[in-house]
Amino acid sequence: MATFSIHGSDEPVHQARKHSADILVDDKLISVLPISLQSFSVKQSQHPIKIYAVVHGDSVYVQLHGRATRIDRVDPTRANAGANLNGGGISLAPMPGVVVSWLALPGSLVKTGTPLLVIESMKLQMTIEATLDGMLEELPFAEGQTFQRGASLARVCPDSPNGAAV
Amino acid sequence: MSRIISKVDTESTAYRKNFADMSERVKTLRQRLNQARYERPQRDIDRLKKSKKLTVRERLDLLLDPGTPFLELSALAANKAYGGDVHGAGQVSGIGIINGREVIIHADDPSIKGGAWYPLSVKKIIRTLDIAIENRLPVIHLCDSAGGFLPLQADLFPDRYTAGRIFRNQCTLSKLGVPQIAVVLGHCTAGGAYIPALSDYSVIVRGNGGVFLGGPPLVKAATGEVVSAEALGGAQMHTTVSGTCDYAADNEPHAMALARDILAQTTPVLKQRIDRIEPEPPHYDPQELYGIIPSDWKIGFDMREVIARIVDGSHFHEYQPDYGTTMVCGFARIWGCKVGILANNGVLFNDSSLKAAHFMRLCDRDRTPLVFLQNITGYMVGREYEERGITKDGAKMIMTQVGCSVPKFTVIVGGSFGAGNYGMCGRAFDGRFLWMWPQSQIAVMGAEQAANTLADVKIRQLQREGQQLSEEDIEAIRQPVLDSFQAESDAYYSSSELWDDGILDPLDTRNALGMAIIASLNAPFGDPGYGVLRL
Repeated sequence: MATFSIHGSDEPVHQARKHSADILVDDKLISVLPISLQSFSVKQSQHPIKIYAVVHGDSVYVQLHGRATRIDRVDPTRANAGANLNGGGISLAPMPGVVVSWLALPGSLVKTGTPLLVIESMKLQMTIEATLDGMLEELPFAEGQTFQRGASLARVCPDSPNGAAV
Repeated sequence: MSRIISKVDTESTAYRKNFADMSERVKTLRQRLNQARYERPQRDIDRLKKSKKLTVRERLDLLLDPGTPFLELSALAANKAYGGDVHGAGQVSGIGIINGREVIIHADDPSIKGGAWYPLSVKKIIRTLDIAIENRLPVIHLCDSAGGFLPLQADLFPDRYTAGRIFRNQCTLSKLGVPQIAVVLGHCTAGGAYIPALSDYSVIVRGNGGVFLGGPPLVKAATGEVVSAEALGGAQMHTTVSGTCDYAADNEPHAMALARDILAQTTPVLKQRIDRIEPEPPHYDPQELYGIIPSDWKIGFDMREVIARIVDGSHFHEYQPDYGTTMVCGFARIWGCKVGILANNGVLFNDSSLKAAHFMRLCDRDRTPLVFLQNITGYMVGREYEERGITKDGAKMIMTQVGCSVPKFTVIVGGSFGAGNYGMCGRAFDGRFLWMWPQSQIAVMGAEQAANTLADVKIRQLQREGQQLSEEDIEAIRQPVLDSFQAESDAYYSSSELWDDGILDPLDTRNALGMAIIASLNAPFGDPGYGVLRL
């Protein structure tokens, strides 16, 4: 089974038989006959319709009755995952180390991915980024201070629904 | 498999700076490759022309299928040895295609010191034949060597992995049923004479080709016999009287055509079956790798961004995405071949080591080749981690990695330090191929750490004797260590010493891996079997 998104709604599509282009949509059999690389004859009940399809990246553009429709393949592992784990705005130290520099000041507004501080551990420098949009509340460790693995390195307070920081 | 979602900001200043720096490094790499391959003093070119010889590159053009890729290996061998002018260690090695089949080439380059074998030339030939053994690749030897470079004979003759190993490897190949064809284009004297003699088939060019245990000067010195090279070991004699060579060729193009036709008579092997589908280019532009890799190896980056620009469709099924997060493990395809990727996103902890070990066993059981992308400063140190058994968990990772019988491939993308190099399939761990990126670094530890460690030792030693060191004294200890570590950690130094199979433009990584993976399938995978894990 594959899921396709058309005009924002998800449609599960099944292949009807192995080694055939025929498909099942809502338990209805649609027979598909390739005519050329980019055109197909599609038949549901009696009437065959000719359609053209062009693949571009993950999208397929289908032309039917003179109108083009974009169809996107839905990635099932992503579509079914819950909300992203963003740790509620707290960035934890992936390894023990020392703070090299602050890149943002507490009190400033940040967006997901805004670099907050640089840490160094075992010869390697890493940039810690904001995990959500909001206000940077606290950078608990000053430049030059050491920390253990799992320590909270930054805390971002999420935006309230109306967009302003609370 | 899901497509990796890239977070790279191609407009950022860091990206632009990295991009400019990597472009410069790749430009330097291309210049040095061009120099090693083509730039020769005019008198050497004239000398070849006068003796009706082609250059080694012209020979390859005639030998290999037109328009097919040639994966050259160790093109910058010896770039920092012997004064820097024994380009490629006087040898050309690489995987090419003849009649649609992969072969490996060992070719002497007669435009460099008459094709003489230096210690690193011998190392390169042995490596070429090791690759042939491990991947069951037919070998074409293009022989045109003045023989061993005598002033350095002690470094190229007597040891286990010196010249004798070349001939030992030839016998091993023959025993494994891997065809070898020698084309004698110049003189094969002394040890070199065994290359055609130990090959399954040999072609010799009339006039220039000669095979003899002792050349005319040695014969004269030994017995007083005066004999011409042609009479002593020329094409006519060897193909009609001694039977040491099989086919006489009228000229070099004729010899290459014969070699191609001989290979066509040998039976191709069936490749090991793995999960393989139609290939698809990466979704993200591999050129962006230039902007992703920081100019300074000390700055970390997300290896998923690298994976996204190497694998088919940028699709990646990540294994244990939330556990041991400094070790990124997952499945992807390269040139349609399913592979298991292990990539470093920081130092190795207990959990990341165990994750790597478990993932390798999953891949090995499913007959999925392994690709290691190294950017590793080592295993975590410190009391807490020793108490948690970081050493024994690292040992589990190493034991499992060595136990895997699927082919392994390594690309050193950033740093390769200490035991991290071992766990991530460094050179000593029998990966089928290992490449480095131009800015990458390899050493037992970082230059700074080494300098500080040695200074510390010296200070404590002198303190015991009641002496004090001044700042200048400490600096005088530190600086030479720093300098030598920095020089010897460089990718060019590694390539010079054949610690790797070459330096890659990051853009070429996908194709190099693809070609290597498919070549590796010529050899059947062994049965899985592991040593004892310290649990």
